[in-house]
Amino acid sequence: MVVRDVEFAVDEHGQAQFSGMRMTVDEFLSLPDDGGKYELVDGVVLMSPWPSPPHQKVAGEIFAQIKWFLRTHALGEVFMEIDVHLGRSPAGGDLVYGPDVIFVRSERVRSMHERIVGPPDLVVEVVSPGSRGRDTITKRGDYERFGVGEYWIIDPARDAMTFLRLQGGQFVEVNPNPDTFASHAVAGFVLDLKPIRDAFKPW
Amino acid sequence: MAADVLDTDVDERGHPCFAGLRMGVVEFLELPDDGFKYELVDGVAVMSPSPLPAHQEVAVEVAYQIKAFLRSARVGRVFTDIDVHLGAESSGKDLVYKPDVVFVREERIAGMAERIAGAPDLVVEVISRGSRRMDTITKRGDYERFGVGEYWIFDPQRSAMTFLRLVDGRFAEVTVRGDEFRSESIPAFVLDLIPIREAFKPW
Repeated sequence: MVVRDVEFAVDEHGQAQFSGMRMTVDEFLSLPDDGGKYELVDGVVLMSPWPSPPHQKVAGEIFAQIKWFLRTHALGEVFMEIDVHLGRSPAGGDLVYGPDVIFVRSERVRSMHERIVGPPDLVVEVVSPGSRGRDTITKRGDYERFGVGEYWIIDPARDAMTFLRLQGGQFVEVNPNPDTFASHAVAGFVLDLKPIRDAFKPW
Repeated sequence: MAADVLDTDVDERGHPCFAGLRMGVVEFLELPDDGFKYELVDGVAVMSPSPLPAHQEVAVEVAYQIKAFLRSARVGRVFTDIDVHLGAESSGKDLVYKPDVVFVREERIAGMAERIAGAPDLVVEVISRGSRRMDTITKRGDYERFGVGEYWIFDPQRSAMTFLRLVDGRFAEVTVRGDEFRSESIPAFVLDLIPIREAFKPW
């Protein structure tokens, strides 16, 4: 156990106290909350910047649309900012990401007691300044490899949305209609793109 | 991959661009400077918090004392904030740390063409906001495993100093009495602790 031997008091400055440390998924998920946002990349703890308000505005809009749809179509559960234990990376070491929004179908959620394990049916990442390389290369590759059904990459700074769907184990880009995107991962759900574009705009 | 990252991200100034990306040591050392301090832990780029002035004051004092000694005894070189490629894990994933101060003996520096590769004879880390666990657990273990001769850990917030020396492949703590520490990694060098304690104090 990496962290058991040291004091758990939040660090004097309250930040980044676990960044760079090696941990297993169990150690990682039992860390106390020190106010930082962490992910586990190949068994190495990584501190990520907390999302900015404009970023959250976009993520919140997408979450709300899916949530509203699920009220009348009980297909599964939608979450924001939740730890997802994808599994073990080929390089060794556990992989835990905290996507902006995920959706998991009911029959799969039931078997997940205390945490999300394995690929969600849908992952949404909103690109922040500085996260583009991670979202479009590293995470895209990982979500594909672990079998995420759909991966939506929403890039407010570039006024762009990319919708990827897993086909034969590979992500294929799906072009949306001008103002809507019809999801397969959330069966029957149609994402309204207009309010998302509105959320792209600065306040 | 480094090229893709460069294309997509280097224009976004003012944000850390490379945290969480997987890369080898060559890619890592060729990253453009985005203004943030990175280390490579098991092949994953991790951002470290930038040091506070009080931290830098301690690091500068230690480097200055060593530098002054080396003027008359040219037994090696001292560096601050330099990439040290310790080596690769058994899985092949690279480890690059950026210690506050390193010392490498003259006969070994001659074999290092463009970068510090392998274990320095001395590593100094000054604990700063959020780095206590990393410095005292993760890095301590790695410096020991890769064969760093001496590892000095300064902790301004706790007014503490720890001097570790490699004895038969394991770090042993060297007890310091009085106001000086006699190094073996830098033969005949004596560290004056009084100005270091002065630098611990808040302004």
